[in-house]
Amino acid sequence: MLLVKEIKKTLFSITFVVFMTALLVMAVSQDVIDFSYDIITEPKLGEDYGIQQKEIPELIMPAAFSSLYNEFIANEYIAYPIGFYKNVKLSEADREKMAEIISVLSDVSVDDLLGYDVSSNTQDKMVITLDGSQNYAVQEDGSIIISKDDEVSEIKDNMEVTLSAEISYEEFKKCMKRADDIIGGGSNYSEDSLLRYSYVAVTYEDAVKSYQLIESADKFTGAYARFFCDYVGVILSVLPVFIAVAVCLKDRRAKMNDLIYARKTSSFRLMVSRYFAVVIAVMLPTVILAYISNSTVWGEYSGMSIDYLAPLKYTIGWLMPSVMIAAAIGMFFTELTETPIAIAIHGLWWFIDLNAGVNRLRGIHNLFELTPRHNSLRNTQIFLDEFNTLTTNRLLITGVALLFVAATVIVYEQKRRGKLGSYGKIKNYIAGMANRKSKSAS
Amino acid sequence: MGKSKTTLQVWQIAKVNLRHNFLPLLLLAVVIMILTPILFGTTGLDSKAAAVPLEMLISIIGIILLVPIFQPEQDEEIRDLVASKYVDSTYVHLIRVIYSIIGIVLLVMVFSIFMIMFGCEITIELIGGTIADAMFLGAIGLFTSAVTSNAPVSFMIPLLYYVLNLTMKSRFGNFNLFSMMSSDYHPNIWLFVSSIAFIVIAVLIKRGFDKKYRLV
Repeated sequence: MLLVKEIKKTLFSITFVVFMTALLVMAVSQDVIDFSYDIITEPKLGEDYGIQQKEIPELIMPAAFSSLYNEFIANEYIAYPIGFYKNVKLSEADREKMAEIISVLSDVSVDDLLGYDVSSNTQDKMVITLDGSQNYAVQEDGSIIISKDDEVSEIKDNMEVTLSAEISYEEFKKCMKRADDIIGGGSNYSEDSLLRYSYVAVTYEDAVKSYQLIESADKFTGAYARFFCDYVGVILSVLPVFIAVAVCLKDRRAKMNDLIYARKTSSFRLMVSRYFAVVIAVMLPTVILAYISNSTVWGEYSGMSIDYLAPLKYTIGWLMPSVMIAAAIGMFFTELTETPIAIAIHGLWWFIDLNAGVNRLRGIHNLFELTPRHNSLRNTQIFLDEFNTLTTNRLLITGVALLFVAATVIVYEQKRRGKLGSYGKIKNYIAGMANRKSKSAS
Repeated sequence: MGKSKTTLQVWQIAKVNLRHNFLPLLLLAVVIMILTPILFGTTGLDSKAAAVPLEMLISIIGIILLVPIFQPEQDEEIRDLVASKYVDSTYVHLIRVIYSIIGIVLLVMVFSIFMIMFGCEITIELIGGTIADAMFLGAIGLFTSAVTSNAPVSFMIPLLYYVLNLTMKSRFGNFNLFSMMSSDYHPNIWLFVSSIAFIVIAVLIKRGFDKKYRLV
């Protein structure tokens, strides 16, 4: 059977040996191969249950506003659009937009906010005319005198701009979203980041509720299987691309292409068998490893209802779509170009997704994520809340992977019929262009 | 007379290789460089923050430019052709290594100048450290390529090293790829020296294989 032959070919390759080593090293180094040190126990009264993020408007609103105002004054906003530090400086137009948001939140006028310049407070005396009706006078002591029409008010160099008491939480969140959009996303004011201003101690009741959820929804083993998938998913989202590239390049290196092209086997059968051979070869050791990891806690929950199928369910549902897309991209671009360019293409997606995933570590999901994250044994409620998004994402990724497989079949068939060249032609074209340039120069 | 003939030979080998092997790789490296300011902040960073884009993305240029050095000869027809030539293949490999390292140095410097223009605090240590990171990643891939003659595995090893550094950097000591983000430049000396050692060993291993192949 072709599928079995392809599986054997994949399993007995050096790429697969390196993959297996990497899988083991990752599982061991991230401490997800043996969970016996981390047993989930029922909370007891008087224990320290840690802290948690909780959406408490009274904590979030003043802290987030104060942070936004300070960043506005410095015109330097910290953001992590793809998980990495970005120091955003706004243009004058965007700064005005930001001033409008702060004005709505604080009742201080936009002109007052924009006219306030910390860098000028050491001057002897400086008058800034804004629109003819307003004058700012910065004095020796750093204080600022603002005169508007006949009214004169004094503001110290640490002008106190506070959050208006009349702002509702909903209105506040809308303003923060606008601020986040102006900064370019991933700022301290995005919906998820706002929660970072609100850490509270976990109460006994919360701890019990969390435990009961792990007991009823996860049946304990689900929590461990999910945590295993979180770490292993990081490398399983990228390594299959190498295996797929190696499998496809092997024919070319062994000069077997023409021989295979002439065979009776259809392109569909050949490509689909090869594709699923890679997926099965990757998934088999992963499922075994997931069971080895999960079984380390089975004894701790004897007499309790545990889900023995959790490792299988999670590896198939959580990890397999990522494996499928990596293998599909690997095969498609290798058949199309006959080069390992798929590694660069998929590697880039993986790199961006991995870093964007830092913002989703709690178990938040989005539609286009490559590697779902849930970096905790707990947070079952978040998992349940996000389950629909996760399911849609996994189905979408699987669908796209199958589309790539279909495209690979078409490409292979066209090559078989001699209607499609390869990257060699593009490479020759680039070299040819360089040749022409050097000739015309000489 | 003999010297000028050698210079001409080196230049001709370099010219052909640059055109046919290096140019597409250089284009890919430039794409990575262009993407870096889009993905990372590259404005007004102090040396610690500036190390982030340099260590995390610019260092990957080393994998792109150094790992495929032995790739053309992995095609049997090209290997037969090279083996039949008077010029020693080690000579060709060394020329490729030299222009690839020059490529890494130039690209890192161009990107560093770009960051300086946008108000980042870029020091000589930071530039040197980035070059060392890039060379080390490329060198371990090149070494793997010499041992296995397998392109995907050759790219896989530096990527795995990169991932393990991300997840357990504290355990890598003097071989930590991302130490400059913590203002520690000491590991970069180790990385640089090791990269030279890996490159030399890789070229020697390849030379050994080529000799064996010629004898067969």
